[in-house]
Amino acid sequence: MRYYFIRRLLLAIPGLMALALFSFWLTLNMPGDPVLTALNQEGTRLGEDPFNGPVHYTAKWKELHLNHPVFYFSLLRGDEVDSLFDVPFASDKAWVSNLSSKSGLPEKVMQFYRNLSALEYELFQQESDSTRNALLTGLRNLRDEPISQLNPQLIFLQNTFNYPALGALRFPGEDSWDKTRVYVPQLVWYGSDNLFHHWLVGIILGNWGNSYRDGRPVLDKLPEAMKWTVLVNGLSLILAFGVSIPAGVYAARRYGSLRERSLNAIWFVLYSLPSFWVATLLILFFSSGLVLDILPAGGISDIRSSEAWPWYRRLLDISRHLILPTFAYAYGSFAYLSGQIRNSMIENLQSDFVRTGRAKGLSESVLAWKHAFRNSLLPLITISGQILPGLIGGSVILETIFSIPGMGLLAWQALNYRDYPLMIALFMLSGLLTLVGLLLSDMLYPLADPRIRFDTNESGR
Amino acid sequence: MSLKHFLLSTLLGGLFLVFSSCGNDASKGEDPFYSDQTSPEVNDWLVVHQLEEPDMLLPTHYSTVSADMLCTGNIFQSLLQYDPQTLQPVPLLAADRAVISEDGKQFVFTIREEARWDNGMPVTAQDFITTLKIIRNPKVNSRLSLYVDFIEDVIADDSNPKRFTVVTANAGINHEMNIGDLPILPKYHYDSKGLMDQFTLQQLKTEASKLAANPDIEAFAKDYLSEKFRREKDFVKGSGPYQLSEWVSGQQIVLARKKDWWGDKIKAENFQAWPEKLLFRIINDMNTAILELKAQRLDLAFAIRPNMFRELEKNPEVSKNFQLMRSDMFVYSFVGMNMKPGKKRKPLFTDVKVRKAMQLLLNVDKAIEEFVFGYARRISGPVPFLKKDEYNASLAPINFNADEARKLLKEAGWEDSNGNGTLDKMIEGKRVEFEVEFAYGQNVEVRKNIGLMFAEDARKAGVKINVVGYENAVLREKMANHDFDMMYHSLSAGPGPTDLKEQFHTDSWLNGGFNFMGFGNPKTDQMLNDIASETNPGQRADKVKQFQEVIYNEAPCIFLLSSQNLFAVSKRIKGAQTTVIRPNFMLSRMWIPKNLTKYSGA
Repeated sequence: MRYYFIRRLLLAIPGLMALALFSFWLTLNMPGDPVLTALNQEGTRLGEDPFNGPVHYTAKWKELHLNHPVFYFSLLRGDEVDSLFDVPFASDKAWVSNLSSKSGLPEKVMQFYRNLSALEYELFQQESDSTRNALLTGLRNLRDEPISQLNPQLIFLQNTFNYPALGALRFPGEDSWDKTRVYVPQLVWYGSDNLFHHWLVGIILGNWGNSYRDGRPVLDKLPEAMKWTVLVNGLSLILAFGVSIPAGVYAARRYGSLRERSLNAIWFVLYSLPSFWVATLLILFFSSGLVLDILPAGGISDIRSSEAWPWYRRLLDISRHLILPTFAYAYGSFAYLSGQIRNSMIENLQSDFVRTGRAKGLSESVLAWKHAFRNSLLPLITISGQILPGLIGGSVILETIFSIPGMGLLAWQALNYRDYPLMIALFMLSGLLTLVGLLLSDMLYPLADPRIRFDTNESGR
Repeated sequence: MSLKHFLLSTLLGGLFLVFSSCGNDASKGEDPFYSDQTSPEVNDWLVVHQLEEPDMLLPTHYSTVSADMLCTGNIFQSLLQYDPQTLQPVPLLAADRAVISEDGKQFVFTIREEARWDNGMPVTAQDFITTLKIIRNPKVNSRLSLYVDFIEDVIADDSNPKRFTVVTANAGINHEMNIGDLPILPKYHYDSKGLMDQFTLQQLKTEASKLAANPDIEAFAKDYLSEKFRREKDFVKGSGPYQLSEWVSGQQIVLARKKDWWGDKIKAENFQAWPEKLLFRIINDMNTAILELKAQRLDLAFAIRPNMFRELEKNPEVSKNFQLMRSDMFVYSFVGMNMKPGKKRKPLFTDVKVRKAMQLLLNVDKAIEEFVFGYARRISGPVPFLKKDEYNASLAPINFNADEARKLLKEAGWEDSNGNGTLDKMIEGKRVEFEVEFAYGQNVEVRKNIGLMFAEDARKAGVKINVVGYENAVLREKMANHDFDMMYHSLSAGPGPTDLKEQFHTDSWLNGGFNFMGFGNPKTDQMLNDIASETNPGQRADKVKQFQEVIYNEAPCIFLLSSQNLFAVSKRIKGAQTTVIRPNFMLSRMWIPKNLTKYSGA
């Protein structure tokens, strides 16, 4: 068994690596421009006089380290540009790779782009006037031109504006295009100066980066949010199991009776009620003062609560705040959990060992709780394993409604603000917990059912 | 089964509520919010709703309304501020308004004699200079650095440490206020090691890229941007009446009134600060916030959504306990049309007739009535109607007129030649159908509804509009790349003279700014440059009016509305007034009579 777990743990490492890679790739490919989002976040309006957008955009792009390759290597077609990471704007990236695949001259296309953007950069730093603006507009519109029109347009611009640097700016002529390169794949090695490497080293050394939004270390923000989500989810889990286990056992023992069926009906009504509606209803009912005003509507402590309060007063205060959220989290799982227990209890209650026990004169409750119930625990253990990652997942909707500053809300804000360091940390954490949860439930199986073993010879799975 | 009973009663209770909540009669008896106290005094707490947690309390950096509301005037002060009613500059930290030299390039400010920091040290010219240096520190990356570019130098007066002269590169109509509006930080606290002393303001302006590598510049920026100055209690410090006393993440932020605040000696209106504590409660869900408001656990909620505000107005229980107020804002919404689509999009809006037809097809009055419940003003151009001297009142809003629109489209060559119900036209040898996309920021129901109504009306005129919601990040990218047909957007302005360059100069199109429509030509650019350099207020206003006429005739956008800030203030709070300056109310000037206090002593 020990061997099995060591093997599982070791297998988890490549799993985690794959997860890291995937989450990293996912965040990089989110729609929307991270540079524009960051600029907007800090209140910079591009284009504001006397400011020039591209110059500022490029500065921010560098500040976010986006001018680095993404990974250690990349496998490309022969006609693809290997330094596309060096192009700041997403639309320009698309343009450059399009030009490159059409001409088969990635190096020359990149050189052309570098010269063009250097020229634009130079113009942007000049005093604004109508000539400069017309030239900049002309250069910008090059991106919309078909490839064959690039040089005619450049010649036109040179003749119109007579700007010296324009003379040297030409796209390689069609006779030099290389149509064969597309068939030769290229493996480009970038070395360790890449985004993924820096990020991974940071993670291993405990530097998970700072949130883009408020500059606070991610590792400070996570525990702050996690404690509330774990608390509310933990409490609601206790409530859910506390209600579902007796209810499931009861239903199995009274299987087919009117009471069992009506209980079932209630569970399914509850199951089908949307949680945001129930949550609002709970607040309306218990704390708005329209019917009752006995519980707080949201938050985790009273606005007057202070460090000076004795511990029991603070505990009471927090408990009062958690009653409604706990119920709102839990009620939906009553139907599922009690149904699981009921089904497996029914199966066990009809099995031979129970019949034997009954023949020996054991009471019904001893039969149910001591003999059948233990055997019915397996599905619950599977569920508990799945619950662990959910424990920190939090619910965006419920946390918003009850103003609980937990993980759901944090994840939502991280997504909205394109807060990459925070997003990746959240991905990694929930992946890690899924793995741990599965491992834990594996460990619990043999405890509930000694017939299950994980030895190499008689592997249970 | 007790659980069953409990659940059933919850359900039934909910149903009961749905039916009963509308018909509550106000109870009789005398006014519970009556007080014979007429003069305010410092006491009690004011509990204010915040929908979003501010990201930081660093005045050189924050950009959110919530942080602005917390800090400006409460924690930090500037030399001058706009009077909330007259919108004229009035002195705050400065003893008086600036003395301006004849050429309009030198501004002499003197800081109030009484002005003190928390440690008792006087506020001096050096604090102002250091604040400017911090803003210009290339590694600090302050958003304000854009706005102080016009400042050449600041010369401290040797004979009076409280007096200094700001020298600017040129004369500008709003320079005095642009200087006066800057938040001033205590040098002894934010630059305790004096790291910025070795650099001059000019150096920081001209050699910024070189200085970025300087170890002292970096060391200062690192310390200044650290978490403590962003959000910790003993580190967020200004000269204002309040100090940060508590920040519980995701829950609340508390500002406490300073005991012996220097400003108490000054009897001006903008030095009033009555609540003992300003408590900002963070509730991310507006529905919950409204319920908390109704339960009177919030004293003030603002930016209430129009539909919710409508409900509150109808509810007698609410009007018994709350003053429902609304205020106009310097915000306006418009639908921009892509006038320079390049080859990315169909060239539909290059023709002014087509743009005008679009204006005629959007029924703005109906939109305001149906989707904003009338809590907005109709606009006809980019200058806020609140700016009486600049606003061109002769330009009437364009009313919905489908027939006229059809006529204009026909004149522009758009006809339904293939009988498919959508107009078409031959452009460069190709038949182009009049089918466009109306892009809006997701999660804004009003925008979506306006789009859908517009699409429905336009369809009848043979124009096919697809209403598509995009996430804000995506919308920003589309805007910067000019990759759209029509886009709903809103912009905010300040109370100062209107700067139209940002939205209509061709520079702003090139730079990915708010002229995403692609409006303008050398002539209109020249008009905008003239406005920017005009220092005579009357002549400037005339030029702004002229420019509005150009915009009106060129129709680069469909001007929609200027929405109002809707808020509710508990009746136990006295002295609540609205102002057009954001956040549209003045927390520190509100006060609570003794007999209505709720929290003090807790």
